[in-house]
Amino acid sequence: MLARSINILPESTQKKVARRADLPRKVVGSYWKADVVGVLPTMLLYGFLVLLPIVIAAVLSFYNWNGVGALRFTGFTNWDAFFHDPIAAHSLEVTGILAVASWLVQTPISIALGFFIAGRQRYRAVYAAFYLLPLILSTVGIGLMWQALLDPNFGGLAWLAQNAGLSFLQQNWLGSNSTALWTIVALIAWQFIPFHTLLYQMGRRQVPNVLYEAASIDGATKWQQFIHITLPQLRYTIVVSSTLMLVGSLTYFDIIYVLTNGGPGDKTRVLSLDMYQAAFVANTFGYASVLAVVLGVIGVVVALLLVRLTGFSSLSSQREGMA
Amino acid sequence: MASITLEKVKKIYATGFEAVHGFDLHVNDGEFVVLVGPSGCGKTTILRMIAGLDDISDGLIFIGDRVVNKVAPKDRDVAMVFQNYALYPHMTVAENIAFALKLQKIPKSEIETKVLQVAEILGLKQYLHNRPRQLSGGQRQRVAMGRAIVREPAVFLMDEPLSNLDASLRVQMRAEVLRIQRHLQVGTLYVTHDQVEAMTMGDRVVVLKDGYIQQCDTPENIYSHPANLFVAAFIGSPAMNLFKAGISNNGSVVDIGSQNITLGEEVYARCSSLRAYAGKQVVLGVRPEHLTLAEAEKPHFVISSIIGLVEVLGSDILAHFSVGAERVHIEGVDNDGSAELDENEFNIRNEGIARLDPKTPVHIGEKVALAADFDSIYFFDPVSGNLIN
Repeated sequence: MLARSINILPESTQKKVARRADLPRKVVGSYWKADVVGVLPTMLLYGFLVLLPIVIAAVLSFYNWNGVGALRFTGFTNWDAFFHDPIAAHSLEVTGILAVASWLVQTPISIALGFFIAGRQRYRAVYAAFYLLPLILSTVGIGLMWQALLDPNFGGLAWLAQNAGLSFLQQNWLGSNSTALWTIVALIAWQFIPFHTLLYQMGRRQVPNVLYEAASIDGATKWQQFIHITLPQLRYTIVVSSTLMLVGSLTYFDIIYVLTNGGPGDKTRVLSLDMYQAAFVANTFGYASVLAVVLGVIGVVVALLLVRLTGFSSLSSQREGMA
Repeated sequence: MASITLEKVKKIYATGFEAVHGFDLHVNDGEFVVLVGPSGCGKTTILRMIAGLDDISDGLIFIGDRVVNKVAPKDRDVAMVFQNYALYPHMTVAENIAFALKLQKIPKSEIETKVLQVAEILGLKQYLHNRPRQLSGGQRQRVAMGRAIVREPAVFLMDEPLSNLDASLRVQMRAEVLRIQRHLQVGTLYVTHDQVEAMTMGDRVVVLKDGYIQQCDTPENIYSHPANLFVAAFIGSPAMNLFKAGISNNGSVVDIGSQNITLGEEVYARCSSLRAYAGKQVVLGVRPEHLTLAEAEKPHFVISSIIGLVEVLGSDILAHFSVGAERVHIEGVDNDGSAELDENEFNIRNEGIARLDPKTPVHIGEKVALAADFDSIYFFDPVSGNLIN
C-alpha cells in the first residue's frame, strides 16, 4: 500500500524522497527541523485565517446562535432546514446559472482579447490601459457607477435611448425579471474579463512561434492552428482561468448586494447573498454557517474536478519534448 | 515532386538591413543541394522564404513551374525539418506524423497505413504512442523527419536538422537522412553551418557569405577549385594554409617571408593569369593534407618551416609550423563550429598546419622542409580574394 502511494507521487518528488533516503540520519534530522521552522509562519497564518474559520463554520452549523448570547446545540436541525428550504434551492440554482453563464461569456472574450494584446499592434499598451481599468476599481464603486448608468429614468443608457434614437436601451435593466440576472452577468464580465485577458495574454505569449510555423507548413489554416496548437498549448491557462471564474462566481456578493440586493423578487438572489441575509439580517448564524459550508464544499469539488479531469495535477510541462 | 528555382531573390528587413542580395539558385527534382556558410550569412532566411515563413522583398521563387511568392505556406507543398524539430508536444509520435494527413482529410485507414510505413522506415514503430518528451534527441529528430516524409511533398527544406545532436549521432543521422532522400528522390535544400555535412551530403554545395553566393558547385570542385579565399578557408578541415606572398618581377620565384621559392612551369600551365601578377602581391594557399616532408630528388614546391606543435590524432599527425610569413585570416571562417575549431586559435600565431602521415618523424622546435605538388598550390588575388587561374 505504501509502495503504491509512493508511486503515484510526481517523479520529481520521488527523486527527492530517494535522495533524502540516501542521506545520513543526522543530516536528515537537521533538514527536517529547518523545514519545519521555514514553513511554520505560513502554516500558522493559513491555519488561523483559512482552516480555523472553516472548522468554526462547520461546528457552528450544528448550533443555533443569534450573534450574541449563548450557543445552543441543535444537531442536524439547521441542515435539515437547508434541505427543505425552497429559497436556498432557488439561490443555489441562481448561483449555478450565474457561474456557468459567467464562464460562457467571459472565457471566449478573454481569449480573444488576450490574443489581441499578445500581438504586435501599434498602441497596444494604450488599449490595454483602457480595458484593464475595471481591474483597479473597487467592486462597490463599479456597482454604484453602473447603477447610475442603468437607471431607467436618469441613467446614461436611458439618455442614449431618448437622445440617440437607440430606443431598445430603454429598459429597466436591473428591475425587470427578464433582464436583471443577465445584466449582472454582463457587469461581472465587464469587471473580471480584464484579469482573465491578462492570463490568456501570458499564455499565448508562451506558445513558441515555431509550432505555428510547423503547423502552417503542415497545411493548417489559422483556425486549425487555433484548434490544434493554441488550445492544447493553453490547456493549463484555461484550467486556471476557469477555476478562478467558476469558484470565484460562487462568492459574487458585493456587486449583487449593491445593484439589486437579490431582486427583483428573488431573481438575482445567489447563495452568498442568502448566507449574508441569514447571518446579518435574520441573525441565524447557525443556518448561515450551513450555507457557508455548502458553498465551500461546492468550490472545493469544482476545483478538484477541473484539476482531475484536465490532468492539471500531473504537473507536466506543455512544451517539453518540442525540441 | 518538383524543382526549386530562385531568381534574383532579395530579403530586406524593415530596419533596411539587406540579408540576401539577388540570390539565384536552381535545385533539380531529386537533387540534394546544401546551403552552407557561417551564422548570419542568410542561409536560413533563404529557406524560410521558400517555405513561405518570411516574405520575399524582391525576385521570384518557383516550386516546379509555379511562382509561389504570394502562396501561403500550407499551399506550397513543401515539408520542412526545423533545427529544434518543433514537434507538437501535446501529440503522440503517431499524431505528430499524421497531423498533415489529418488536415488533408485523408481517410483514417490510409493515414494509419502511411504512418506505419514511415515509422518502419525510421525505426519508430515502438514509440508511436509516446509523447515527444519521452523520446531522446535522436528519436525526436526522426519524428521530425517522419512528419516531413509522410506527406510526400514536392520538396524538402531542412534547417540545420542535425545540429542539436551529439557528434556520433550526427554522423549516423547524416547517413540516414541521405538514405531517405535518395530513396524518395525528392528535391532537397539543406541548410547547415557544418562544412563536413555540406561536403558529405550535397550533390551540390552553395557556399554563402553575407547574403552573397561565394560558389555553387559539386563538393569535389568546391574542394579542388575554391572560387575565392573565403571558400578556400571555409571548406576543408583543418582549413587551407594561406600566406601573404609576392611574385618576383620575372615571375619565376614566389617570395614567402624571407624564403624565395622557384615556381615550376607547370604552375603557369595551370594558372596562366598568374603571369599578370609578376612583381605583385598574391595570397598563396596550400591544404594541410597536401603537405609532406620534402624528398630531395623530386621537383616540388618546398618551404622550410619550424615545427611549433605536434598533435597526434592516431590516423594522422597535425604539425603546426611557421614559415616566417604572415598568415591570412578570413573573417567568419572560424564560425564553422566543426570539431577542429581549436586549430584557428593556433592560426592566430601565424602558424600553418600540415596533416602528415603518423610515421613522419617531426618534433617540436625542429626545422623541416615541407613540400607539396605544384598542382596543389593555389594563388589568390589579395584584393578581390578570387582564385587566380
